[in-house]
Formats: sequence, structure tokens, C-alpha cells
Amino acid sequence: MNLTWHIVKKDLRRMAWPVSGWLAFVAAALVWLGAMHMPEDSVRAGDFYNWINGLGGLKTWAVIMQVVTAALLAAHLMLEDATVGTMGFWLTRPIARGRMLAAKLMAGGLLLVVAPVIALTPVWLANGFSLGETAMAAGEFAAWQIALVVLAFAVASLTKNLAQFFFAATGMAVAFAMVVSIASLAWQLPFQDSDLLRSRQMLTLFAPVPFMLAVLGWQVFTRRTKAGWIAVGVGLLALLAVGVAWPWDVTANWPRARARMRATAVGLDDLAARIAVKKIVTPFDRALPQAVFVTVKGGPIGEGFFAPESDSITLRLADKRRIQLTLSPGGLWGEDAAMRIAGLKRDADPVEWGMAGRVYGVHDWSAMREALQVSGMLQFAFMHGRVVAELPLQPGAQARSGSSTIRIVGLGGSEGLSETCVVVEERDSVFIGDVGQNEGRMVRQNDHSRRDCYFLVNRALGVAKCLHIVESGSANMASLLVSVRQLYFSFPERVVNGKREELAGWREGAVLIKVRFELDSRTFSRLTTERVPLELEEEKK
Amino acid sequence: MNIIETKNLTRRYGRTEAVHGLDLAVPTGSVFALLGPNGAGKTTTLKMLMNLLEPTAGEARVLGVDSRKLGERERRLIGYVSENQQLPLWMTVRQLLDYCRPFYPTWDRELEQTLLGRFALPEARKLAHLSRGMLMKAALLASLAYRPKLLVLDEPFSGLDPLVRDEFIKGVLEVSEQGDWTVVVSSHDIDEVERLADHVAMLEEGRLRLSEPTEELQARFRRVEVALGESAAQLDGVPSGWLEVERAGRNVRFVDSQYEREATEQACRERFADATVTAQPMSLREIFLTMARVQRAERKEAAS
Repeated sequence: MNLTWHIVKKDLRRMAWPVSGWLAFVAAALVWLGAMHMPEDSVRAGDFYNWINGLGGLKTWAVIMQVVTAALLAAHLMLEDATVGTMGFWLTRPIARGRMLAAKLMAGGLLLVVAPVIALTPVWLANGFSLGETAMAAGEFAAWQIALVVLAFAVASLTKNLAQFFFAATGMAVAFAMVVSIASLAWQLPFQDSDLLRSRQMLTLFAPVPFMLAVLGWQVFTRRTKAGWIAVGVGLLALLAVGVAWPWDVTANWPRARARMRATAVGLDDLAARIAVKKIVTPFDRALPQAVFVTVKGGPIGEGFFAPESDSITLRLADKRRIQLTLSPGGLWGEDAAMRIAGLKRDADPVEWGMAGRVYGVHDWSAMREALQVSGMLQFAFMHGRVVAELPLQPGAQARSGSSTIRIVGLGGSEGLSETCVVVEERDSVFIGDVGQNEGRMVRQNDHSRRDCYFLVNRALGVAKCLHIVESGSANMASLLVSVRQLYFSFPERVVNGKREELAGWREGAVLIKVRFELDSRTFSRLTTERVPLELEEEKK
Repeated sequence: MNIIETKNLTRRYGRTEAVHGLDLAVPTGSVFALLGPNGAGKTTTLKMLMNLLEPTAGEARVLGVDSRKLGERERRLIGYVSENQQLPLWMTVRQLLDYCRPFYPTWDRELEQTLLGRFALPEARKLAHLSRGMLMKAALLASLAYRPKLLVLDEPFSGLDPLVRDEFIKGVLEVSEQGDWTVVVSSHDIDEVERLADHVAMLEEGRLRLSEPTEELQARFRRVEVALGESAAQLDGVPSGWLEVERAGRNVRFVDSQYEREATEQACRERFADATVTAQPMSLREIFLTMARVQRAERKEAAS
């Protein structure tokens, strides 16, 4: 161990200056993101899209720079004691290969994982992150850095110098992108088992890290570079095969089981489901996809609510056909619950959520009418809600709750229109589960890991309006999210002489309330019906 | 007792055979020179001995261990200096020594200080700022200070000026005389090696041409000049050990690779009656060049 640490100290000395520069850049980038504020006149000029997108663009470059420089630093660290070639100094010294590998991993961990986490911690805390959020941000950042260091070490171990590394790493990144692109074509095919699909996606995206760790070990211990490259090539092909045809659900026994137990304990069994089938008719009266709606009702449980998430059910028809369909949550389920949390609604009716799925290729409408059975598993998210901000409806008003800051930048909308909007700039902690896969920088709103609801309230006038959220853009880096939202509302109105006009004085004393739901756990509920009395509706489109 | 033994040691690069079926034995305590022209396979051989390259076939045993299994324990007993070795150039001489020291329980700080003085190495200067000669001396110092049982020097004199060479050789000789060290040195600089080596092996095109103690080699090689009397010179059917036989006027000259005074004179008299035979000792360089020329001629003949 002493000798291993002796090698680590040598590497720390060697990399001290370059890594210090990199750390300064990483910390400065996060400080910069946290310090950026949208100017108020950008709302008047209507260019807040440009502002947030410009910020997002700069942030993207900053992240790319961070990643590329970190990869080059990791490669430099590895290449200090290169494994390719026969002229390496360490190869002729009494340094066992395992010792060298351990030393490199320790040095990489200290310089590129621990050091940046230490450098970023004050920045996270200064941005209002709680200790728990700071720990999560640190863990997430560390996980990305570990993956990056492993990948960079593995490629560097197969190359002679930084120039070779740069080309090899670029080539591998392109090859990996191609593998993911090809696999994603298969992921978009209809009628797939969602668990299996998730397993394939996870393995394709994350399996390269342990695989490359194995390649790194192989190369350091054997120094058979050609075989190492062959293994990488075969690995990429195997990854493609995994992405397209992996046959087992690796997530089957993951923490969902625990969540289910917990959710059952708090009473998910009390939920009631209503199932309706809706026939949608187009202007051409064509045979059409038919929608199946499952409405779930459930009251608040403590300070939490169950929110439905997508899952699949099987519809067994009278003619014994079985139709598999995926249900997705529809509507703004949180409004009702949020109003109760904000004290704006007090009735004791159950909260109602709708889920919908579409049936394709069933032209025999009567068969749907005669559905015998609906069965499947519904996935629920148990969400806790709380009021995180209440601030006067004035430009510049700001409220902060932990890491969540909201500032009203201005009021937008055109004169004479009944609808206008509040433009808010927000700062939050954001973690991997909160960011959608397909939405780039946007925080995913439909997976219920976090959901915000906004109300405009004038208590004196008894007015409460739920606001419609339009995401203008966001920029996130190292778990710090800066986003701009437009919150649309219609003026409170009254009818005077048969004409509708804005309720006078409603703006004075109006406050903006933000309610946030955060995921507690996920759970499943089995849904089985016998001879469900389907409610048939027709909807012209 | 041999510190290094190879058996049928072979290394191929694609279709090119850099080392072919090498059977070599390096006696413990010897200063063993591996000679040969550029591309003869010297460096490849040493790299296989140091497990920097894997043999394609055959095996080498170093310190009694298969070279492919040289571990920390064996490497603590081996010093290696090569002209192309990548040293950590960002370190100062002091940092290099401080870095190397903990790996060797036998590191002799007194010897380190002695050699630092002898080589006049500036401790605070970075290796990157050292001349080539200084760099080689720093590498040598980092390989001598722990008194290795086996010191392997791969083309250590390349690019060094005569003064530095002298210091380098003196350093090696001085230290090797202090203990039971074995030095293996590869070089194409035969004059320098001659001062060092008590055993010599000659490689050509990856094949071992000879391997024996220097004294024995020099004893059996003589440049022989036969001054003919009145008799005619009979140059056909000369012994196979006579190399480069040529006639110049009333003289016949050749190199006898199996020289024994009485036997050589007897053989001369049988062919050249009333001849006067004089035999001159040969330097390693002359022997090396003679063998190289003979082998080249043999290859040419075989090719035609």
C-alpha cells in the first residue's frame, strides 16, 4: 500500500497544476450559471427565449469543455505510465501491474472525482442546496466522473500518446453514437415490453463502463494492445446486439418491490378505477384508433398523493382477442391536489386522475363494447406536495425555499387579449431522474419525479387561477438548473351589461403560489375487472 | 551458474524474424557484451529478457525465473538503462531518485551520493533540461544505486561524447567491481565494449554467431601473414577456420579463427614450404568486422 500511495503521490504532483486549472474552470462555470439572472427588459423585448437558450448554449459548451478536458487529463494521467510500447519507465521498475492499476485508479479518483466534488460543494451550498441535495449532487457528479475516468483510462491504456488517444476516443465516441442510433431505431418499434425496453436501453447506455473497466484491467495486466482493440470492437457489436435483442428484464427485482410494500401500507388499495372506452371519429368517419380511458380516484394520504404513471394493460375482448395497450397519464392531475395543499380548496372528494391509451387496428367497434376483462398493472408514484413559494405578482418579486428560487421577471402577453403570462426565472437542484431522455435540457414533466403547479390567488376577492406552464428553456449543470417558464392565465372576469371584462383590482393583492410535488416512492397496483361495463362515448375530431 | 539462459528464443514481427532460435547463457558475475550491427536483434533480445516484449517462441530465464513472470521481487535485483527509455522528464534529478528509492530495499544512499558527485549531476535540474549524456547518467545512477545483481544496458553509449562515455564506463566498471554483479550491455560500439566486456556474444540478423569469453575469442583469432619463399602458394583446400584468405605478391594473408600457434604454423608449412609465419592479435572490432564480411559473402554465395 505504501508503494501504491508513493506512485499516487507522484501522479498528484505531476497533475497538480493542470488539474487545478480544470477545477477552477469547473467551479467557475457553476458559479457563473448560478450568478446569471435574466434582465427584466428581456420580457418587454420578448427575447427571454434568446436569453435562456443562449445560456443553455453556453452551458453546453462549458460542459463539453469540462468533459473533454477531464478526459484529456485522465488520459494524461494514464499515459504518464503508458502500457503500450516497450519504453515505459515503470515497466522496468519493481512495480507490479496490479499495483500500478490501483495507483492510477486512486489518483484518478482523487484528482477527477473527489477534488471536483470538494471544489463544487461550496458552490452547491451557496446556491441553497440542502446537505441531502449536496450529497446527491456530489454523488451524481462523482458517478459521471467515475464513468468518464474509467472510459478515458481504458482508451488511454490502449494508446501510446495523447494524440493517439484523442483520435481513438473520438472514433469510439462516434462508434458508440452509431450503436445507440441503430439500437434506438429498434426501441421505437411499437408493441414492446416496456420493462424489456428499459433493460435494453439501460444496458446499452451503461454497460460500456464496466466493460471498459475490464478492458483497462486486461490491458494493464497483459499489455496485449491488439487483443484489447479487438475486444473493444467486439464489445461494440455486442452492445448493438444487447440494445436490439436483450431478452431479460434486468430491472425485475429492483427496488420496486420495496416501494410496493410501502405503498400498500399507506393504502393504495383504497383507490378506485373506472374504465371507459371512447370511439374517436374523424371528419372522414374512418375506422379509427379507439381510446381507452382509465380514471383512478384516490384521496390524499397524509400529505401525499398517488399519481398514475404509464403502464400497460391487457384488454380481453368478447371474441377472445387480447389487446395489449400502454396507458399514459393525461391532463393536469396535480391541480386539484395542489389547490388543497395551498388551502384553496377544502372539499373531501377524491382526487381524480385520468390515464389513456389507444387501441389500433380494431375496426369492429362492437367487440370493444363487449370487452370481457381488463387486466394489468398500473404504476403509481406516491408524491409529497408542499408550497415552495408565495410571492406578490410584481416584476422582481423573488422567493426562495432551499435550493428552489423563483423570481418574477415580468408579465407578458399582448394588450387586448384575454390571456397573458407571468415570466418566471427559477433555480433548482436537478438530478438525473428529473431530466427527460428525449427532451434534452428540459425537465420532464410527465414522469412525476417532480411536478410544479402554479396558482394566481387574490384571497380578498376569492380568486384562484391555475396557471398553464410553458417551458421556455433551461440550462442545467452539475445538478443546478436554471429555467425560464411562462405561466399563462386568463384574467378573472365579470360580466357587465352582457359584456365580459377584467375583474377590477384583482392584480393588486394577487400572489403567485408555487406548489411542488416530489416523488416519494413508486408502486404498482394490479387492476383486474370482470365484464367491465364499458362506457361508450363518441368524440368527433 | 548462469544468471540468464535462453532456449530457442524467437521473436517475429509479422513475417520478419527479429530474433531466431537464440540459445544464450550469461554467466553470473560477467560483463557480457551483446554485439551486432543495427537491426541484428540485440534490443529485441534484451526486451524479451526484461519482459517488455513477449517471445513468439522459446523461453528465457532471468535470475532463474521465466522472463514472462518477472515480478517485483526479481525487478528489485535488475537495473535497466536504454537509449530510448522514456524517463519522467518533468522530474528533477533529485525527484527521480526520491521516486525510485522506495521501490528498492537495497538502495544505497552513500553510493547514490558518490555517483551524483562522480557524474556531476545537477540535482535540482529537470531531466527535460539535461543533455543526452547527463540524462543517460541520471538513468544509470537510478539503476546503480540499489546495487542490482543484474544490470542491463541497451546501447548506452549512443550519442554520447567521448568524455561522457568514459565517465559512464568508469562508473559501470567501478560499481561492478564492488560486488558480484552481472552486466549485460548491447552495443554496436565495439571499441567501448572491449574495455568493459569479459564475455562477448555476436548477433547477426537475429541469429547468434558466437558467444564466448572475450579472452578466449581474442586468443583464437589472429591475423596471420605468411611471407612465401620460393615455393608456389597453394590456396585451395585451406582449413575452414581460415577466413578472408588472400594473396598479395609474395605474401598470403588470412584471419585464423581457430588460432593455436603450433597448429597454425604447422598448417602453413604444409601448404607453403619455407614460408615465414607472423600472427598479430586482433581487436574485437577487427574480429567483428571480419566475421561480418565473411557472413555477408556466405549469404551472397548462398543467394547466387
